[in-house]
Amino acid sequence: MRRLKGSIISVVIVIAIGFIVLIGYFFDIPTLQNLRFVFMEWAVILAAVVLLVGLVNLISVHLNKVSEGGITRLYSSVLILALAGTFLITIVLGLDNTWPQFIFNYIQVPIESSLMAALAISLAYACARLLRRRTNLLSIIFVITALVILLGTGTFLGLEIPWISDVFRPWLSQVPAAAGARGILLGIGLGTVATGLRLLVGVDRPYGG
Amino acid sequence: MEEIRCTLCGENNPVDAEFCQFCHARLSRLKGSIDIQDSQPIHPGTRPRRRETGELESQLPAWLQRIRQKKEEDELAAAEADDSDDWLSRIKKQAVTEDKTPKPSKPGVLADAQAEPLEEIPVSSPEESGEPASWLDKIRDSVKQEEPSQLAVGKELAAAKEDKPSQERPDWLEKVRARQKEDFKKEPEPPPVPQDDFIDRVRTIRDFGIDDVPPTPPEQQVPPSIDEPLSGKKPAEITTDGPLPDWLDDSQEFRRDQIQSQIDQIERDEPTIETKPPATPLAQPIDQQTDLPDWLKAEDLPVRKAGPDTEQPLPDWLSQGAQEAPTPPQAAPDPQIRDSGEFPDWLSEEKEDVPQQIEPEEGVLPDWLADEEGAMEAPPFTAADFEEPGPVPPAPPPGGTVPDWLSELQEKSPEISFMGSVPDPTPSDEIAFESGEDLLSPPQKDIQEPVPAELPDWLSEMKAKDDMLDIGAMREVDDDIEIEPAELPSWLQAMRPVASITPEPQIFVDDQTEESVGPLAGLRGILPAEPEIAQFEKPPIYSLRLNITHSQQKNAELLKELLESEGEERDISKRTKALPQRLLRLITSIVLLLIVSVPILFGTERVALPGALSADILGLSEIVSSLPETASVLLAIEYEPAFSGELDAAAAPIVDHIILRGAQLTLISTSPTGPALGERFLSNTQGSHEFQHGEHYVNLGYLAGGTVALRNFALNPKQTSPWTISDEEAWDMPPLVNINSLNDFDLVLTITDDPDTGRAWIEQVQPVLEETPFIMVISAQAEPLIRPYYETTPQQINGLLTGLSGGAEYEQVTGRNQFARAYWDSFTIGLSAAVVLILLGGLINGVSALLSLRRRAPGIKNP
Repeated sequence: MRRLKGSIISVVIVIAIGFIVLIGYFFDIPTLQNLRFVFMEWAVILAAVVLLVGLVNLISVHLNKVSEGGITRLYSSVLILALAGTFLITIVLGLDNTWPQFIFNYIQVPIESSLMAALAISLAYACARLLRRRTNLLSIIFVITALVILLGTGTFLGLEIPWISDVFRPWLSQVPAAAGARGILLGIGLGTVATGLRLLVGVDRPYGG
Repeated sequence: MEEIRCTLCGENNPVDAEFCQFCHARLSRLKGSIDIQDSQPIHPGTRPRRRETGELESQLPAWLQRIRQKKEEDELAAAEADDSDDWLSRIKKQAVTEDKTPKPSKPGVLADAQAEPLEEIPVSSPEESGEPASWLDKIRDSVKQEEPSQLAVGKELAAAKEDKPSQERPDWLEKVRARQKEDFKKEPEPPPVPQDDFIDRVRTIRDFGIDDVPPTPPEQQVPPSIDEPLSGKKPAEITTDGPLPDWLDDSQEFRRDQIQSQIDQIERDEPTIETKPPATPLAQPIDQQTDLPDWLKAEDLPVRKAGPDTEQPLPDWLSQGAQEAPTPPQAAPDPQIRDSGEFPDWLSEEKEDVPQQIEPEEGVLPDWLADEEGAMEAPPFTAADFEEPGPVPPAPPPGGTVPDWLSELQEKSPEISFMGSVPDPTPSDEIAFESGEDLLSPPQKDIQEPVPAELPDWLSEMKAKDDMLDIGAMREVDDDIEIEPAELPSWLQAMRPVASITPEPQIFVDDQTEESVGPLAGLRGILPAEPEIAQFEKPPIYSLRLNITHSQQKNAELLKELLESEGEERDISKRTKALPQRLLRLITSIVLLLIVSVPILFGTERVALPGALSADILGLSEIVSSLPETASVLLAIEYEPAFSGELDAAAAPIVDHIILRGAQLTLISTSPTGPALGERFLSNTQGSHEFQHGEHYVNLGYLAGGTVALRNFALNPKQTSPWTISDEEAWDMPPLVNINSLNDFDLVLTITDDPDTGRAWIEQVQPVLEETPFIMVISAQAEPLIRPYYETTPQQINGLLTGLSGGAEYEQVTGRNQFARAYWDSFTIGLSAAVVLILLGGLINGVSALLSLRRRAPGIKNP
């Protein structure tokens, strides 16, 4: 009975807040706008708290891995030490301090950039091996498209290849790619509306109950 | 008055009548099953035994009775129509027929003729000799006259049967026997049989067609069958050349049992008869007189009165009958007897007609006679008896003498006790007689055989004539002697009731045997083990060698090899393709890194920038150029550190252009790394402008909450993000002094590598903006999803700059070579190397793939 009451209350709260925000989106009513702003601020605060909760969860998971032993103990230990150091340094010194900037600029950014560079090399190699793995029409189309986009994005050793950068690449990016992207966006929009309606009606209850 | 219609003759009878008054068939249906006294199982080699089943004639189905009646009538009619000269040929034919289909219960004609006690039957009376066509009627009349006594005899038999405690008897037979026994006890001494009965019977025999035979003197009318044993001479053999008379042919219908019993009766009386006239009645026990038919009783009475040695002259009726009755032709008179003048004239004449047929010297029987002999199982007279005519055997001692032929016969049939004289009635005989076991059951030592449910034809035919008379005659015979059991034919054995064939567990004879061994030792009455089980034998020794075929042995060896190979270790072949691929990847990575790194390390700017500016860059430049002085620009840092190289180089020219226009910047980000990246971006790319935080720009930090937070920021920026990354009130700083909403910003610039983040800004912030332009610097990978918002009308994105190439172009607009140019050589060379790698790799791998496809066999699939 208590569980039922709790679920009903949560559903009523979600549906009420959702309708208030939605109505305030379409109607410029001061009371609704004020309520809307309040609810959205609550959401922003809750999102920040959720980030902190996620941080605590990450620390607990890797502490468990450290206690379990094995090769993952080292990685988890490094993660926990880096997190704690960065957190303490940033909290103590502030984000605009040199040390936090140093950590970010010379540790985080190069690591992520290197991963992206390695990804670029892997993609290039995979594209070269693609015809070895799958010798079919789609593979050939993929390879040709990649070559056209690369050649159209830049120049081939300083030389512009005719019809590539001014015809084929714009056509590929604006017609086939844009068509596919719009289809994806339409699908995303419809899915978002459907998900919103299901939450407003109470069919989907990601909050539990 | 109610009547019962006879199912046999169709005549009406009184309700209380048990037998038909016309045909003497049983009217009331007997209850219960057929008495099967002889329910002993049939054993191999068991010889069928003659059974008296005449009383069961009424149990025959109606259809069978009708058929038999019709057959009887036809035969009688044919007998009347046949010439008397054909009697011998018919005997032969019938003998041949019976030889082919042996019927032990119906012996051959000759045997019948030899065994038929015609010597006891005087010739017909003179008054009956002239009616050959009505002999059947006469028989019926005689039977009708004898019916009371015959019925009494039948009842006696049934009553006698009742004394025998047997559970195998049916109820109906028990009842009949009980009633007969009572009648028998009531009448211990049968009334004297009138001599007319005997005369009637003689008439019956005579009427069998011998009407034209001249009468013979009584002394010459002794049949040879009677004279032969009396005289001790073998009778002459009779050939089949001469026709048999009708009466002899019809006489075949008499039962062999009746004839044989009468002959045996005479044989027992041989010593007496030897010295007596043939017609002398046989001495019979007084007790047995009740079993004899009337006509036979008439013969016995004088004997019983006068004793065995008393000579009895032939009566007048017999003499008269002899003069009219024909001589029985079935047994030719012995020459010795003929010479002695003991044969009548008619018999002598008959013998003279067939003189060549009598060959007593040779001792060889003709074929038909031999066949006839073979057809008989145990005939009372065999051919040997006729072949060895000798003197009359000596008279037996007081107990009786047995002639040779009787001795031989006795040897053949030891069960038959031939007595030299008239056997005295013994207590056993009396008991047997009273119980009736001797009538319907064989002797105790004989294997009992059940009475068939359906009688054979020969038995039915005889029964149709005079069943009760037969019973009486047979009763007479069975009382005196033990009849040798006849061989039961297979068809008759098959007709016997199944219950009687049920094997009897003979192994359980002594069920009180004490067990001596085993767990049941000391107990009595246990079930003995089967002989096969109880028989202890040495167990057989079986060979341990498997009896398998060659193929089975090969399969077994193959299976053994497979099982053994499972335990063997195998060397795992190393994959030879792993190293070249890894090496190729390593070489490719090193080459690409060197190509990209060398221009940056050496700072080369050899590769030319794109020549023509795109419309997107030109439009974006115009927007930036249109910013007012001291403009407030909201800069959203929405990319990750991984894309900082591309986006920093792409956004640096336009931000530089904005700063050059004197604008103040407000940084905000929905990514946790965004505030740091913003600081890094300004310090690395815009360091030349010497921007100071709080004076030239404000970093609002991280905006938590994603899309909701962004929407809230778009609607109420002050409340959503009131603090800077330095924990200062942002909205009081110079860049934000006049800013209350997003529309107060002169330009909103979003730098993002994520299409979703860009879409959030487009969907949540752009609609709030009224006059403020909204431009985006995006990564090359986000262009496909962001460009549609730029291509739409009205544009949701007022200006779009994509990737390093867009930054390079924008640098050409501003004329300030910054990061884009510094990265351009590396970017171009690296891009060219990637193109070459993909192109060459694609060609090589594609060709090799095609070659490998060609090398493969058509039917082999890819691994």
